[in-house]
Amino acid sequence: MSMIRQAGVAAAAALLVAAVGCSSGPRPNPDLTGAHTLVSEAEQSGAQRYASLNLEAARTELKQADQDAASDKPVLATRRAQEATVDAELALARTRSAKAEQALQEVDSGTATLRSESERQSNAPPPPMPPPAASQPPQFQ
Amino acid sequence: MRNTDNADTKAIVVNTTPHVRRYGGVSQCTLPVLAALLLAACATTSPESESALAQAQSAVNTLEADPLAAQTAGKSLQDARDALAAAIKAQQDHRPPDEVVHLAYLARRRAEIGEAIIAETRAHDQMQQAQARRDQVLMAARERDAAMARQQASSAEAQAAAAQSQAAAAQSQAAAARDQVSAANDEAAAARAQLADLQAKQTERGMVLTLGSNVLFDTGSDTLKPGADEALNRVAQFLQSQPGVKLRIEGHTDSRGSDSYNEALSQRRAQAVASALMARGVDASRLQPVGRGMEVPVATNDTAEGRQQNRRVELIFSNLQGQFAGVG
Repeated sequence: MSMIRQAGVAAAAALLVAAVGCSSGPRPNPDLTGAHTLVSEAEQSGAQRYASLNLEAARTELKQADQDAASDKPVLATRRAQEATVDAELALARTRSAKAEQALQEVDSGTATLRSESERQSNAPPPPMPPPAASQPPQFQ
Repeated sequence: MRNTDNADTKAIVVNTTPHVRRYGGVSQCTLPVLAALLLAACATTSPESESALAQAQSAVNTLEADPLAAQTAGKSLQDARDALAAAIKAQQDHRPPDEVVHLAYLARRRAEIGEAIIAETRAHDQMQQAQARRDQVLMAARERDAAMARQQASSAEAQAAAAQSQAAAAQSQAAAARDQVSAANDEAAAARAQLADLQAKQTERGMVLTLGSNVLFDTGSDTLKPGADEALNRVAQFLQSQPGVKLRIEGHTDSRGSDSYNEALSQRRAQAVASALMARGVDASRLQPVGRGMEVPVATNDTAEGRQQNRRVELIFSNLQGQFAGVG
């Protein structure tokens, strides 16, 4: 191909890219979309309570990723999105384990309560018997 | 590839134990890679990327060392190893520190995710045992409660049975007492009827049979006339038939004569009646002869009729138990 032709093709390609780019804004980034989804999932799972540090890190990274994408820095946006993803996953995993440990704790403490209640009752004097029938009007016909 | 090579080399410490070293411990999977690059000249790396790699290595080592890692968090473990390998490769390929730091960060978090998964699995596994323990205690408590309830129930049953048999005994006692009373009533009624046949009258002193003195005695005498026999026979017969009955025999006179004369006469007459009854088989202990003289007239002494009525012998019968009603 001649040089001019090459330049023309390149220019046309660039125009096309620019046209596509300009009309729809920054190209959608699957890592960024996925990160948003995962951070949202972590929030809904209760990570704010059980893994707030990891959740906060994910949010910060995600915000940075959005800014990088908007400023046309796709490589940085992807990195931050991947970091946000992994922090959101960690927040989710820690939330699930914290809930499982809490459930376990509740069962164990329930058992302890039952045990001490049972011991207390077996050491206590038996409840008073109802008065013998002789002191009541006879009910036997 | 951006070339930041210079003449400086940095020794890479090879560490076969999972323990962390500042310049990066070596996980099993990256050992061959690292060994191959041992002698490779290494470009200056930034403190940030060194530190990030060290932290990533440490996290992966911790995960590797967990005995549950392979079976519980196998995928996370592999992801973490791969991520760490990528980070180390990036460093060896002299990638920009930012890139190395980024890859090391991902590796570290991947390893921590694996740890969290193991912790969750461990808690789930322990949950089954914890629930089993709780159920055991619950069952033991329920068994104990049931045993106590059974004990209380059978004790209450025993009490109820005892009370029931008490009530039954009381009932039959009451029935027996009622029977006794009605039998006694029947006896007393029969005795009264007998006495009524004898012309005895029910008074406040009990059943009283009044015999006129002239029927029994001649004037001033204490010898019983033959006309008294029939009455005395029937009284004796009655007393034989009712062994518990006692008899008070009161002699009375009219007002003619002195007190002492009349008292003595009435006493002798009462005694005569008693003797006549004893002769007919009545035991002396059942007889109480007493002379009342003129003390207790039943009619006026101013008329002949009245005086005749006052001249009498009263036979006062006790009840079947030998008790007299009031004082005559």
